Amino acid sequence: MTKEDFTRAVERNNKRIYLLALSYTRDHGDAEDVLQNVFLKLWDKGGKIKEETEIDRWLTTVCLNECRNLLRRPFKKRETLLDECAELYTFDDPRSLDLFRAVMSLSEKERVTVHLFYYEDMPIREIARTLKISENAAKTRLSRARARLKELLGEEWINE
Amino acid sequence: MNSPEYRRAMSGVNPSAETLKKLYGIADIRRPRRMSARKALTVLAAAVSTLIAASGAFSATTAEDAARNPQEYENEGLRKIVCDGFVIVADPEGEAGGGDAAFSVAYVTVACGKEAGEREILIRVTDPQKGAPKAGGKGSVPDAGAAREASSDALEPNTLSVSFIIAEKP
Repeated sequence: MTKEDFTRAVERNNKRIYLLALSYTRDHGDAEDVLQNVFLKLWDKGGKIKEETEIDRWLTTVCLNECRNLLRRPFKKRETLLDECAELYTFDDPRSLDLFRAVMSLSEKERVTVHLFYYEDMPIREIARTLKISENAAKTRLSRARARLKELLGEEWINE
Repeated sequence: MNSPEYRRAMSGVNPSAETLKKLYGIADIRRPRRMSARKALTVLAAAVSTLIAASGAFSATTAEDAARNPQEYENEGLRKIVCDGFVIVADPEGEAGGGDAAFSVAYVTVACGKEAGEREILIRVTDPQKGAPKAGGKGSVPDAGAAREASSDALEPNTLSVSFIIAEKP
């Protein structure tokens, strides 16, 4: 992989991978750690991947693996509190903050599924493949997440 | 909620500029590799302990201190270190004050390379916890594991997540 290819991959994916890691770990520091590790692996091992779409998909998979590994570590004893997580960011619209907090209050599995569906626009089949679960399991997670969001956001929630 | 609404909400959620800088810098480092967190903590704790012993206090230590004594930091052939995170700072002999052995936690930023100059290593230490927990008699330090154990009540566990990139000596 050339430096130019790598830089393009960083430009294209840094925010996407950060958000995916954040939705998994719910911790800014952890998400940044994962982000660095993912791109370090790309530079180290991603030389054989040529297609941009393939690189992006590979980054997503590596990111999820990194998150899983991170959360398995013995010293990761406590989840970051929702308030701690939300106060790090600036939201122009209060509704955006409500939405962010609502999504972040979901379970780890649900918020990752929601993120992949709504941010990455991934179809259910692709979500199932990425998360290594069945399509039915992906649908169930999404459906539970929507129900919970509807509960949290009330009328502002539109099921789409 | 729909996708545009969710994306709009997430538009203000971004990685820090410092991390982005590190990402773009990965391609400039020769043979980057990841060091285990335990090893990094030990290496950093050793460096920081030396600094603290030299400065005599758990307070900010600047680049000049490190630049005066660079050999202390060129551990195991490592030359360029870019990292930041919380490390355990150990003072088993009580040199920092009062003669009591102490463990503390410090937020450390280590930078070296193009910006800091080839031989200059910038280490910034800040102590976020005044009145850090004391745990005497834990043996010779740096022992990141023991110190982590000793400080676990005062530590946020996620502060032990250290981000760094290590490059081998060119």
